Amino acid sequence: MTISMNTILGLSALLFGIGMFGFLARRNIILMFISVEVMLNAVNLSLVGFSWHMEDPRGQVLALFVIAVAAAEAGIGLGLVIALNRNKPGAGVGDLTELKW
Amino acid sequence: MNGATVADLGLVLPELILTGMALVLILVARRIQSTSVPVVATVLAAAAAVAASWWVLSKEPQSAFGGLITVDGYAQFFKVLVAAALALVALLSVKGLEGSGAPRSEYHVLLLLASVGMMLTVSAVDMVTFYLGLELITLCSYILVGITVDRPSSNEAAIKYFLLASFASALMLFGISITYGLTGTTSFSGVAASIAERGLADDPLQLAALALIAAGLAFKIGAVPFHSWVPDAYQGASTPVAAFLASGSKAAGLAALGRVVVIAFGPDSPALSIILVGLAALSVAVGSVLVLAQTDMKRLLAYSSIAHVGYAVMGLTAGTDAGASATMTYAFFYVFMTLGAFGVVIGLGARGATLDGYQGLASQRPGVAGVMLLFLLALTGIPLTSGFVAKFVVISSAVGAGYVVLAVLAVVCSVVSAFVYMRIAVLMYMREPESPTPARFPVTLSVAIAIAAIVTLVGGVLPRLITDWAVAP
Amino acid sequence: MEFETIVFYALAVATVIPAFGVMMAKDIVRVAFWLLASLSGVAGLFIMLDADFLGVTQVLVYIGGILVLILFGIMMTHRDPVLVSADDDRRRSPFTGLLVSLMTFGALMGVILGTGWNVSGGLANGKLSGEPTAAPLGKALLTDYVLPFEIVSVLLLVVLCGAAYIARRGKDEEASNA
Repeated sequence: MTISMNTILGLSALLFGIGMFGFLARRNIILMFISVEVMLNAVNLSLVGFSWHMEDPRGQVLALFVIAVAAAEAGIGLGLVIALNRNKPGAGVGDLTELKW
Repeated sequence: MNGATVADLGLVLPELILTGMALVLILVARRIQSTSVPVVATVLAAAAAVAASWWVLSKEPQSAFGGLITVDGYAQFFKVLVAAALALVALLSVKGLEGSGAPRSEYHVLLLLASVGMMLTVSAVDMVTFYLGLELITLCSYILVGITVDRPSSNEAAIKYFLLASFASALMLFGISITYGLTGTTSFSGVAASIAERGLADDPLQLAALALIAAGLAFKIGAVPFHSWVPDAYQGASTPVAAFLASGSKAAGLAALGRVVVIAFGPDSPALSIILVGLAALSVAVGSVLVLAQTDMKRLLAYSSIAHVGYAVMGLTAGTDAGASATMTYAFFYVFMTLGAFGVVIGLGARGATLDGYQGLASQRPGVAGVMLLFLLALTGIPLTSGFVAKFVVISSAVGAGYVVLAVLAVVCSVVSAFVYMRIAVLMYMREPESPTPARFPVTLSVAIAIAAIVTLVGGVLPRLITDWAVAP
Repeated sequence: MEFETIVFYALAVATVIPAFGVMMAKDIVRVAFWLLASLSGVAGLFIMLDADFLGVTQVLVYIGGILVLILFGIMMTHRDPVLVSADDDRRRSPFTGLLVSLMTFGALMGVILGTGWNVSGGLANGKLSGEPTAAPLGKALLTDYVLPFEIVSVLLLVVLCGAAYIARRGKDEEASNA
């Protein structure tokens, strides 16, 4: 396969930028969370790319840990969203006004 | 790397003790009715962890688990600090959690496991353990902030904290990934060696990676411009949790930052110095100015913590060992003074939550007012308290590194922020009380506040007792 | 161009276009399905980059776990008009976000294109190319990386305790339903 490392990292940076835009522009808790997942995918793509490029398994190991942590965060995040929904039905980020932003 | 052996387990004894106690508490969670059992268990575990850290420290510094963590004086110093913060917060929680509906044993399990994360973070010398330790701290913190589920503000604070923290983690990870790609290694010393060998110090991509990692870490310690979660999280969380975030989490984050600065990205990196000076200057200035506008005690202490993180980071701007040990000293003293102040806030209950509650406290409860005055003086940085020693060492290290403007800014800002601390003192001593005399503090709370007060006083008079232990990595 | 290279670029397109879909779609259920497509694309890229085990893990954990969790979250908060639609009038102006992310992306691209890569980074732990990666990864996780592996297990324990507690129904609700 004739793919240069620059292509892979560029692709990863593109995904990262898309996720970052989503996080900064969207005002919905679940959408912001999804944007972070896109960013983490971009990171994993770069890690696997480096791992492939250097023929070194450590990048893949780190990517595996990132996936595990992302799953853990998803569990907590959704728990919090459900608790919020119970306390304050219909809340978006704009409604989180109990505390000043 | 040559893998791990069973002997390595002895080197993580403090972490193992805390994890073991957490597992025991999970198993017996449903059987515990009294509130004191988990508190006693947590304090005992913390004491055992301190003892274990001393024991481990008595051996030669060495790396464990194939170079993923190290056991050196730097790590053990912060482990003792984390364990002390854990014990004090557990004592504070006796009163602080009353009527909040938070589950006793789960709460202490989370405190214990967050402390495990802090201990791993402070001893990490590899990006993998560094990242996972920080994530363990943050995941426990989200839950601790949101643990009072029936209170909407707690829930809201947890969600904001969660969203911003996971964003910051993603930034930091991208930086870690790029560093790995450029240097071909994840260990801090390997990164430093590779940067030196291949002249990556000025490589633009390496600088981008450095900026991303610094942004992620700045978020974890709540430095400006990544501080917006701090006041919300402290205000929304129950007070002992806020105390834990202000003490243990900050200390662990500073320790991790110190190791990254001194070992991985090297003292010779001008870009790193610029980033650190920027973080320190902004945090000190913004924290000191915004603290003036606060009337809620938890928000006030939150902005004060932002400013104090700025002072602590000043020590690292020098990039030298002396600077790093100045930061260690700062972190140590700050943990005790802020825990003491939070302790008084907790003890006064609803009355302690706002500034007005302190009116006339001195005529009603002179002892409490006196201790609070001590912590306020320390937070301001008045001589004969530990706060002065702490500020003195970091400011002189900044001057030594040639950042005179930064040092002047720090001094000016500490004068500015003195207004708010002294306002509380004036309220306590020069006003007539408007509310009834507060109830006596529970014994555990008094013990915790007394320990914090003793460290603050002794640290101010005989600082060498502590500074001698603050040895850079 | 080689066949593999064409497949790689096809997968790259199949990852990026759905990612744009994730950011642009109005309806949150559509967002979730765009995310499904994007995550699958990343899994394909992993497999193209000799990370077969990670590719499968991506499908199992991200698509089978996280995405399903997100869909659960959407459904459980379904009565909620705000959470379900990505509602434009409540959205802050996207220009700040666009500006910041474009600047970050531009800066990263700029420096990435100017970088020559270290090819000799491959270290003592054995080569990966072409071999199935499950065995070397498993070996690494239980030897060199046993400590991080255990940290992750503690992390999952925390989530198990914490998320179950936070998402449980409040006391009053339990009482009224009992």
